[in-house]
Amino acid sequence: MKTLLLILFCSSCVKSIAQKNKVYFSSSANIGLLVGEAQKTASFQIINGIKIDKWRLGIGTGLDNYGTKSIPAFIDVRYTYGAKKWQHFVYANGGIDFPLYNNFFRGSTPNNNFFKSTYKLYNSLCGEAGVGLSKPITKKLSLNLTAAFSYKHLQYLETKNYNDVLGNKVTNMYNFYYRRLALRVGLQF
Amino acid sequence: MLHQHLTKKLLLVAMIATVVSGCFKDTGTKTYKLYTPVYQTTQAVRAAIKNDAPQPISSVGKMVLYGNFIFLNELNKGIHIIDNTNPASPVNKAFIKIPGNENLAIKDNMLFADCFTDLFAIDITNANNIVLKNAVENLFPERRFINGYQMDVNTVITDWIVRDTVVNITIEEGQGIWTKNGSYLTSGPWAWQFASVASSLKSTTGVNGSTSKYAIVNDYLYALSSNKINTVTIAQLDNPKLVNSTVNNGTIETIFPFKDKLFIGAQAGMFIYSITNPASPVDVGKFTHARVCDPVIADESIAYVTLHSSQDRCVGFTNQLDVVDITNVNKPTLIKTYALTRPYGLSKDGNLLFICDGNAGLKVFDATTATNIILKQSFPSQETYDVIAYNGIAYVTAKDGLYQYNYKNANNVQLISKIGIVK
Repeated sequence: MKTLLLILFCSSCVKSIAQKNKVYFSSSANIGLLVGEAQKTASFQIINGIKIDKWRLGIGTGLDNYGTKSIPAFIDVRYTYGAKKWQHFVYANGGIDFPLYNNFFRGSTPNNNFFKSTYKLYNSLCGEAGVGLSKPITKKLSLNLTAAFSYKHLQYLETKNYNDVLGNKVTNMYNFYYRRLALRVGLQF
Repeated sequence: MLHQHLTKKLLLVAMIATVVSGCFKDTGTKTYKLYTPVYQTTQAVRAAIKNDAPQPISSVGKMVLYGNFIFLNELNKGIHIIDNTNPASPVNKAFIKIPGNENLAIKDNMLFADCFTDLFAIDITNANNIVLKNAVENLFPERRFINGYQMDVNTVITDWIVRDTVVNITIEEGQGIWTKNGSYLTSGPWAWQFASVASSLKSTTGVNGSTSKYAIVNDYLYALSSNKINTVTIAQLDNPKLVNSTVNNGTIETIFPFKDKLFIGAQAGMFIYSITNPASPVDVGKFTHARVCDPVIADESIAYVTLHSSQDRCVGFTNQLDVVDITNVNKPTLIKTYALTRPYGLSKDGNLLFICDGNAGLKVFDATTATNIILKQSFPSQETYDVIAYNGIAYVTAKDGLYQYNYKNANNVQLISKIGIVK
């Protein structure tokens, strides 16, 4: 019930703003680098939504290769300001991260099944907050450069191939909290 | 001007980046169960051996049939005594608490059961007052080590305190990354799983299943360690004594007696020992196979060996029944192989062969002709472990309980009862 009320409130806000300002469709595609303690790896995002005055609101997805390959799904909000030649913007997004692998078997050698474990990866939270520069390159198209603090949570349950003293499978739950720098370049209209 | 403007911006960004760089940290936690043993002295454990009130069965281990009773092991905890006077309605009557118990055998009202390293002789003549009579100490020395702990000579682990424990993981470059070869791993606490006692013809001797590590033949109890056949004289039932240990390097796991032979199932194959001199088993023949687990039973001329592979100790890809000609015990030869799902315990009565085929459940075969064993019936269930076919009833232990099937009509085997486990 609360969720429904929240959605209705947000929708009415957007509608109210839209009634005062023109609403445009907005889309951006970004590739970039995720840099953290564990690794440096690539990332890809695509965000589709609406642009109202200086605000952009969109739904994004992509590929996040950090820690584990996953597909994030998030809501993205951006506010643009500054001169038209080099516009600044701040943004934030948040959503759910969906790991691509699940129940993956690990074995040191094909016949050494004793050391096989099974894994269950869980959907977890992800989010970003950062700043960017946007330079128009055509009337509608802009080049974006962003730098952001990017967060991703990975949780998985490992089930060992042997039992504990009580006859239950040995399990370990792992939680990784990735806090990395996201540097991206992309196109937006 | 623009150049200065951009330079200032870049400097600002660099400053901010430097300040916030401390925020770019990867951290992790691992949550696992920590097991802390509860110790008791061996004297206290032995003093507590008695028939307690019946307890719900939470897991099913080895079993022995004795008269109208089923003695059912619960791994590492003890033995349930089930009144099976009416197989359609078995009644859980009592529980004997024996920490570390895995195997059992019964002869003439004397229950032989292990308690970690020791073999107990427990008089069960008076059902209301069972008495620990004696112990053969340190018969199974490998069982002194459990879950990374070593028990002292005078102590046993009777219980475990289990606690969820969280530890922090430090992530450096290359760690905390999921790859197709796995991710950050640490080793956790682990324990081997051991899987009762058998004899077939004497009415005063319990009947064991094919997965048993104990066998009673006349006045001797043969008890397997990981690499030894321990020969224990039970001529004096209340004073068992170790008389011999025969080494076998094949990781032996099951024992089946037939007349003057012991058929040993090992990961490397089936071994045949002569007990013409019962105090000293002699290796007379073997049938080797791929490294898997293999309970074995035998009759006059044929041995039936189930081979199974799994994700635990029995690594490999072989799941089958081997029918072996043992007419010449010195040179057993394979007659035929039958593919199965994941066979484990088996039993034979007349021409009916019963096989516990893992998750495929109990299967009943017509084994009249060794080269043409035919499946007659199957009973899918949760993973099945062992079966004893005796006097028209097939007793089956499975992951979810103890089943009994009536096979007096060989063409229409029927489930007559089940005791389920209680978690």
